[in-house]
Amino acid sequence: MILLFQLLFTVSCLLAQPGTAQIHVSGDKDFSLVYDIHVNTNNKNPGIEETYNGSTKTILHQKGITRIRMVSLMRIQNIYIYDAEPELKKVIITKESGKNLYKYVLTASDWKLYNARYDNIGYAYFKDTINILGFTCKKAILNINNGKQQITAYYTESIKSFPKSIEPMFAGLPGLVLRYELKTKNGSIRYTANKISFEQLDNAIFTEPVKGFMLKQYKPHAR
Amino acid sequence: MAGTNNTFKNLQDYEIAPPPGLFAKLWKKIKRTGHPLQSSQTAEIEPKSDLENTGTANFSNLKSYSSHDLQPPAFNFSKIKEAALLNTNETGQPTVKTTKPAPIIFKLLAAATITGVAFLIYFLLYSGNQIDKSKNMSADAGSLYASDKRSQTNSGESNNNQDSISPNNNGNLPHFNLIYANGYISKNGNSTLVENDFIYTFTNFTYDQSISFLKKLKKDKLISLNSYSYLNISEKMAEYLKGMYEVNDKDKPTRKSKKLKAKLAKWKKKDESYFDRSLQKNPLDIIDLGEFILK
Repeated sequence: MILLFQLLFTVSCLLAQPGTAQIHVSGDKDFSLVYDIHVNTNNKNPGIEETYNGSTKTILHQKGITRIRMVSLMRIQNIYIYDAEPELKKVIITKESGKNLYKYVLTASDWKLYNARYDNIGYAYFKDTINILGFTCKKAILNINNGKQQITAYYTESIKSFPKSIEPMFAGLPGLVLRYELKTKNGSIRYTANKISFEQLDNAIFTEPVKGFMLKQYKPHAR
Repeated sequence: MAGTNNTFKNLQDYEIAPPPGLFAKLWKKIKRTGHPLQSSQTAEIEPKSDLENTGTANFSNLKSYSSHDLQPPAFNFSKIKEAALLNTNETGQPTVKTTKPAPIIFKLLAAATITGVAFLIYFLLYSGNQIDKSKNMSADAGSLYASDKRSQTNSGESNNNQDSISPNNNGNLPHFNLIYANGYISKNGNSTLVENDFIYTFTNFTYDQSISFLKKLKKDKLISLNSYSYLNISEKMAEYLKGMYEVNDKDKPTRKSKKLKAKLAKWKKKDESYFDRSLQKNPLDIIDLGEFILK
């Protein structure tokens, strides 16, 4: 009787843990993830950084298309990624605020070149963990550009990371990043997940912007 | 049907005579309207004695009166009504005046006038066209942007805002309503993000809008566009905006306010210069953004 009780207790504990099976977010299911952006500096008086402090970065995904959107006091910017898997078709980058709206259209090879600096990232894993939105997240430090920039990331293994075409910086991690931070001597920028949802999304969200947008000529280059 | 005639005959047993003198009074009044036939009839039956005492007798006389040659006049209700309303009452009670109903065309004109006036008042007060004593700070301080011809409608993204008023599927740009702390920013309960540009919108608030905005900013600094997109105004930025809306005793922007607005305009130009000239830098990339704002 006691053994049966212990067995039942163990099974219930295992089932209660979130994400025992890794959730795949870039497949056929609708998915949305919102990050709060927090900027911290030592400046006493507000500077231009305050126009980005409090912004949000939203990743919206539906079968065949992903949209990444930043809303800040200064601007609203978007990236539309078409058919990230299995083969990327195109990427559209738009500025959707202010007087002069524009968009760039990049091919798959253009996008790959554009994110070339994330091809060789050094990963360092740590035992530190934090809880974000109910998910236990592990710490990793990403060394980019031969260590010129360092990103501290916390990822959850319960959810599979986005493919490289969507989040080129984090594709090499074993789970979805729910928090990441860039620190410099002058301050830091931190993105923290505030909302995850698998609710169905309106198709209209993913409509390519057409009217009023100036199509700019894109010259392929690496950053 | 059988028995129907008996029914009517039985009903005759239940007839009630009119009040005494009523018929006489009516005949008298009808006679006064000048109907020739009535005059001839009333000449025969008009009682010479007291009306109340001979009313019943006159009525019974009329029952037996019949003439094949002379047909009674057609029943004319309007004449009876008119006669009854004339001021001939013995007790001297005042006349009940009848008024003709106004022609319907006048009613329609009145309704249209009232509607037009109401619409005009609404348009003048809430369309943003200040023609009376309302305090437009942006006009006094000098707008950040040279052109005054910015469209108040339709700029920003495609129909991705699930809360937009007019979503459409042809790539047209919808309105965004700023939902601030579960309510709208401006005093009248409705505010549109002009050209999807927060800075332009906030720096061109009217005086009333800025007061309402600051009041709500004090309680909650979250501004929603829809369920997936929102903006938090930082404490420092809230203080900055507060300074930007300062006015002096004459309700004119202060020198500090003008300086803050100019500074914001300068930041905006710097931002556009860094990110919009080419795609060399992408504000959606944390490294590119960090290099710009954390220099």
